[in-house]
Amino acid sequence: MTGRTDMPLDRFRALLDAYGAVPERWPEDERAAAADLLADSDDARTLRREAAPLDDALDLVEAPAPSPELARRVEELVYERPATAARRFVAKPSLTRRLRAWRMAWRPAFLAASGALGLAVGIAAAQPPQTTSTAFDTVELSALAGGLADLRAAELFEDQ
Amino acid sequence: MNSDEDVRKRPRHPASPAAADDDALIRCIAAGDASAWPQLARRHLGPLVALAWRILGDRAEAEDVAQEVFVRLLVKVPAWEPGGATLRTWLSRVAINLCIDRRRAKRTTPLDDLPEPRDPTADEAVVARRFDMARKVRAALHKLPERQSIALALVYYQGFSNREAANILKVSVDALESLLSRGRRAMKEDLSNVAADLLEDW
Repeated sequence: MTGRTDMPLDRFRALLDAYGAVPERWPEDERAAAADLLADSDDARTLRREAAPLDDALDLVEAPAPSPELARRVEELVYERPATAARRFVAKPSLTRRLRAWRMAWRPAFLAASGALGLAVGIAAAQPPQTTSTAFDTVELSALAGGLADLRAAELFEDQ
Repeated sequence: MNSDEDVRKRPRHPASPAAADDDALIRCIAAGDASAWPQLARRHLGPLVALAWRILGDRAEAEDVAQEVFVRLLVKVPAWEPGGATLRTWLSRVAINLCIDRRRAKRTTPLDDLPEPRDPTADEAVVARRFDMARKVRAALHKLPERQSIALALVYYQGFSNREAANILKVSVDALESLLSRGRRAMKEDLSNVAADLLEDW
């Protein structure tokens, strides 16, 4: 080494680890110092040779070109009003967002319906009872309540 | 492989379109000159499709993303501020965000077929071998954690500088280098298992 470079070998190694062996990918402000080191140091040249095959492997993967249909669609976008284009192509809002919007839109209707239902129940409750409950009704309702309780208990065990 | 003497060559990626040109085209479009739009679109569509394809692994999805990015650009044009982020950076960031949303929504992204080899005169066996190796490399790239794979896509394939890539990913240059190093290391390990000959000196 002649000592004209100010890049330590460790930094050169880090450069190769991150950016690979192709100098054009190295940070522009370090490229000259790395080139000096490469010219002067056998170790640096060895490190670069070892890093190169992975770059060659990465170069094998070529991305597809845009289809002519896409190019045409994109070029024609400008002839639509931006809002129209956005409505046509921008992804729909998520399901959660759409449900929230739907709920907000129908909220006044739900409130009105709840109020009407409450009023109807209130009027009905104010009327004198038409029938009286029998012993049979009471037994049947108790049995039903017990059955539901058993069912809930069984579900709880299944959960554990 | 490049020789040790050619390190001062011009970048292998074509120079990125000058931001000033992009800004001028956007000003024209904002002023109602629709003829500037196709020029802008042709300049950036290819790199955007490539970036989205490298993240998503699916050409149709990549084209959807690219189209959506241009729609967003069209909406943004009247409010575009020259001198801020370059258009290329802005477009890439929007594309990456859209890709991330799609990738996370799908959980698994099957890789579609690679483009057919372009050189019809090359020896068939050589073409087949390169095609097979390219598939292995692509599969290894696709297995990387999301941010490592995006960092590699930006710096290796899209030709972004370290600062530009760090800016797009909203990380420091040191953090970007860490993502790149970890990505390369993982690639090397993966490929040494499935295609050791790839990593031998050619």
